[in-house]
Amino acid sequence: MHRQVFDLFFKATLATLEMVFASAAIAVFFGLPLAILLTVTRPGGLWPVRPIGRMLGIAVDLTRAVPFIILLVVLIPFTRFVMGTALGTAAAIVPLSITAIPYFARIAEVSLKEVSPELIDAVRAMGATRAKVVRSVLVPEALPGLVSGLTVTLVTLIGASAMAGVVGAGGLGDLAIRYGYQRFNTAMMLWVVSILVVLTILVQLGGNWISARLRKNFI
Amino acid sequence: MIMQNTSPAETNETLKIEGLSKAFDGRYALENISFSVRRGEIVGLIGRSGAGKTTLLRCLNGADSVDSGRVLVEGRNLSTLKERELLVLRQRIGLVFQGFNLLQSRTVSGNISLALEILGVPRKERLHRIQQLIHLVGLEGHEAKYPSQLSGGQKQRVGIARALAGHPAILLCDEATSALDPEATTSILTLLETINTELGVTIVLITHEMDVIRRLAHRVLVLDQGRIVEDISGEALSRGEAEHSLTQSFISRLSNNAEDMEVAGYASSGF
Repeated sequence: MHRQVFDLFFKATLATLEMVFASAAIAVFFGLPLAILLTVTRPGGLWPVRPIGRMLGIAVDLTRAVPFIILLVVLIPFTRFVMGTALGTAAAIVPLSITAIPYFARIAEVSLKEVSPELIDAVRAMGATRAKVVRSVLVPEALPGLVSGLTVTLVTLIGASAMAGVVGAGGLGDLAIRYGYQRFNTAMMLWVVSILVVLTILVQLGGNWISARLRKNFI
Repeated sequence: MIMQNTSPAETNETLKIEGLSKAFDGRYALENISFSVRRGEIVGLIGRSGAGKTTLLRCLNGADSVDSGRVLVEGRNLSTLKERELLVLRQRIGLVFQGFNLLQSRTVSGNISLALEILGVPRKERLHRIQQLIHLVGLEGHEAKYPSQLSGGQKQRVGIARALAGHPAILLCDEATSALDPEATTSILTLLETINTELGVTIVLITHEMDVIRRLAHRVLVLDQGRIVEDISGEALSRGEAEHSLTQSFISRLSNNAEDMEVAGYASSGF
C-alpha cells in the first residue's frame, strides 16, 4: 500500500477509535447513573419514586426513537454551541454520545435489574444506606453484565461513527464516503469495511474476555 | 475473644413485642402478638408456611413497619426511630438467611467486610476483625474464596460471621439450615449453640425442621394464622405438654421422623 494511502487509513482509524471510545466513556459516565435511577425507582425498588423513573424512562425512549442519521442533523446547533464547530472528529463525539447514553442506560438497566432483590433487601436490613447498596451491591454484582453491555455499545458506536462521516466527521466513514462512494474507489471502500470488521471483532472479543473473567466467580 | 457490648437498657428483655398487628390488603398477617425474649434465650418460631413467621421476623428488625403495637429492641421502640437511628439499631441485630444472600462479586473476607463497612469500621480494624470472625466460624484458609467455590454449610458460616460483625445482641435466623444437608445442618446448629453460650447472643429462629427446635430452642412459639397459639418451654414440649393441636402435630412429626431415621436415643435426648 502506498505510504500516503496508509497514512490516510491510519489517521482515519485513529479518528474512529477516538470518536468511539470518547463517546463510550461519556455514555458510561451519564448512562450508568441513569440506568441506576431507572432501576431503583421501579416499584418495589430501592427508591421507588415512580414519577422520576417514568420521566427518565420517557426521555430515554424518545432519544432512542430518533434515528441516528436524523439526530446527527438535528443536533448540529447544539454541537456548535458545545464544541464551537459542527464539523470534524471532536464535533462528532457530541451526537455519538447523545445517542449512546440512552442506549447504554437501557442495556445497563437490564443487568442491574437482574441483581437479586432478596440480596438487596438483605443488605438494607443489615443497616446499609441506599447509596451503600448501590455502590457495594448493585453495581459490583451487575459488573459482568455491565461490561457486556458496554461491549455492545462500543460495537454500535463503531457503526454509528462511520455514519457520522456524512456530516463531515473524520474517521473511516468519512474515508469511505469521500473516496469509496464519491470517487467510485471500490478498493478503498473494501479496505474501510475490512478495518471496521476487524475493529468490531476485536472489541467484541476483548469485551467477552473481560466479562468472562469477571463472571468466573459468579454462579 | 469477641466482647459483647453491654446494652444501654437495664432490662433483661432483649426483645419485647406488645400487641403487634400487621395487615396486608385488609387481612391480618399478624394479629395482636405479644411476647418477650430474655437475654441469652434461644426462641424457636414454628408454624405452617404463610402463618406469618417471616413477616414477624421482618417486623422485629424494622424491615416491615407495624400497623399497631410496639416492637422494643433493648428497650427502644422501633417505630419511633428516625431512619438513621433505625439503621444503627439494625446493626445490633444480626440476620441469617436461608438463601445466604452473599455477594458473588466478593470473597469470604469481602463479604464479612461488607458488614463492617456498613458499621463504619475503619479499614485497619476491619482486617483484624475479619480474622477474628473467620476464626470464630471456622473458615480459616477459605478467606480468598468466592461464594461459588464454597459448600452450602461454608456459605452459611460466612453468613453467620457477617451477621456477628457488629457484636449483635440478637441473631434472627430465617430458615438458616433449610437449604443444607443434614451434616451441614448439624455443624451450623453447633456453631449457633456456641455463639449463644459463649457470646451470650440471643437467638430467634424460624424453622420448619423439628430437629432444629429439639437441638437449640429453649422456648418455642407456635404461630398460626397470624396469632401465637402456643408459647411453651423446650422442656415442656419434650414432655408432651403442648396444648394446641398444631403443636402436637409438629411433635408427632418429630417422633415419626425419629423412628424413620432410627436414631438411637433421639426421642429421649430432650432439648
